[in-house]
Amino acid sequence: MQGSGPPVIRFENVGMRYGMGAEVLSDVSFQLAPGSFYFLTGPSGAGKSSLLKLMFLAHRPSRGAVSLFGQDVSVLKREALPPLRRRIGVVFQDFRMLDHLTTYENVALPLRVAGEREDSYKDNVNELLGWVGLGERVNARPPTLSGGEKQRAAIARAVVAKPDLLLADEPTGNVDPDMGLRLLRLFVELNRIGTTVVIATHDVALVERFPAPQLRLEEGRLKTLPAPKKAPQAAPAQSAAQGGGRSSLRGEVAGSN
Amino acid sequence: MTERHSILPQQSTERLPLTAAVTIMSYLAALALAAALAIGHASGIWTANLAGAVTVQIRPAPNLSSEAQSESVLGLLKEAPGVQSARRLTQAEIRSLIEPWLGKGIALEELPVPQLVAVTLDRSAPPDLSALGDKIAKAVPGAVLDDHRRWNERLVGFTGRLTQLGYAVLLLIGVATTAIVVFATRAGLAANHETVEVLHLVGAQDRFIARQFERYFLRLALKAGAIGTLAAALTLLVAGLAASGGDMFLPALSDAGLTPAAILTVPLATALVAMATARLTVLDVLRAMP
Repeated sequence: MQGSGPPVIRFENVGMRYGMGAEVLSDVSFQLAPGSFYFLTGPSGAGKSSLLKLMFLAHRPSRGAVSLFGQDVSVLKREALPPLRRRIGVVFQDFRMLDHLTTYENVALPLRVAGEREDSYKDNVNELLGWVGLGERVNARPPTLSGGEKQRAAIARAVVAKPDLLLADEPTGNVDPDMGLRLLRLFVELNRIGTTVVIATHDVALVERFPAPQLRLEEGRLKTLPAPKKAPQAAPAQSAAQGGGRSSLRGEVAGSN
Repeated sequence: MTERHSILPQQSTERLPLTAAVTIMSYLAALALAAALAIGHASGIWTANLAGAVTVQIRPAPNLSSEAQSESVLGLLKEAPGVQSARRLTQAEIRSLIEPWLGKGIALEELPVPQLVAVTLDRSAPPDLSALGDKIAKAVPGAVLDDHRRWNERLVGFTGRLTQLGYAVLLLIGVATTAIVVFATRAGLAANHETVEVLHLVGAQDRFIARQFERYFLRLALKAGAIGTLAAALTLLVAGLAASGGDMFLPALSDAGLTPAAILTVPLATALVAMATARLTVLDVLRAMP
């Protein structure tokens, strides 16, 4: 399903540097239509994590403009950020679980933070935990979980609030291929109900299995590659990215449904 | 499963020293409050007692027997409006008044000790004391009415300053407690910066995060405040018992003005101060974050 309305994310000539260092991202321009599905690929150190940080508002760009859900983030007040962040689910490469909370509590955290009552989400959270294979581990604390279990908990936390935008940094890095596919299907399902999905990955097999357009980063610069022309049964909803400021991108990816 | 843990870890290395510091502060605060209240209360009682009573001192006069002097004074007093009763103190009573100053076994007869007449006033319609004083002084040579005003003024001034000092100490303890909580909150934020970051990333407002810290400090301060106040109450009880041998000041301390409500203000105020301080500190620190 592909929504209409303003792009979920829009980057215009964005540059980012840490402190006084060299730019890790330069002249990045792209926009993601609602309901699109992208892989974010590129060699290590190309700036994938930095790009994700900009997308989930953990960093501000050094230059250029970033807008999320049609709002220019550079002019947003501090109080306006949490409502935007609640529309974004993030799977961190290092999981970022809270060690003193149980798996259930970690996964339910976005809902608790949003002020929802526990009886309204308890069943959903338990069901989701069962789906990602953590049904037996709901009361375990993250330090006792394996890497793969933590990863699944992190994914469950990212999707539990049915975000409008899902950002995942190497979400299948610590699980076996079968579980990797299962998790990816979860993302595809979310995408079908309208969530825009961006998955940063090194996993070539995964990218081949789920043909979707790619945001490819190389040395801090971004290219958008179209989806390969084949249609496996699990293919995500088609993407519609319009090229940003760079002419080389324009028209390269078209929503070809 | 739905067991709900606090979003902030409840066990931290700062918890014990922080609890100890807040406990000590509330202990001191309870003592300072008790002292201030008791002094104010005792001062009120003394003043009220003094206001209801005057004394007539009768020094020996050249041509009059002491008997005649006191008879005339008592006669005058009985006729005066606003006087409830008047009574000459016995030698034994005068001796017991003087004993604390001069020691036992003094020969009272060898000293120029004045006679004393204790006068109880009608508090609802007190007499004009200066007119009465003039009248007595004129009619009976050597007789002086002492309305205790000078003594009373000095007492009230002194106890008033002591009470103010008590409240000033209380204020200082409050400031110190606030400073302790500010430090502890900042340390807590630093120690939990990963938790705070995750909370931000999942969409928590600053005030949600502040609330977690508020709760932590509220619980800690309530507990510490209760322990400190209880310890102070025990201290006062022991001090009161130890002093119940007849000293005039400490017995007043042990009962005076220390209602349970007054004592309860200490842990409650401690908890409120800690909570408000934690909240403001967290919001202040978070606002400075990117």
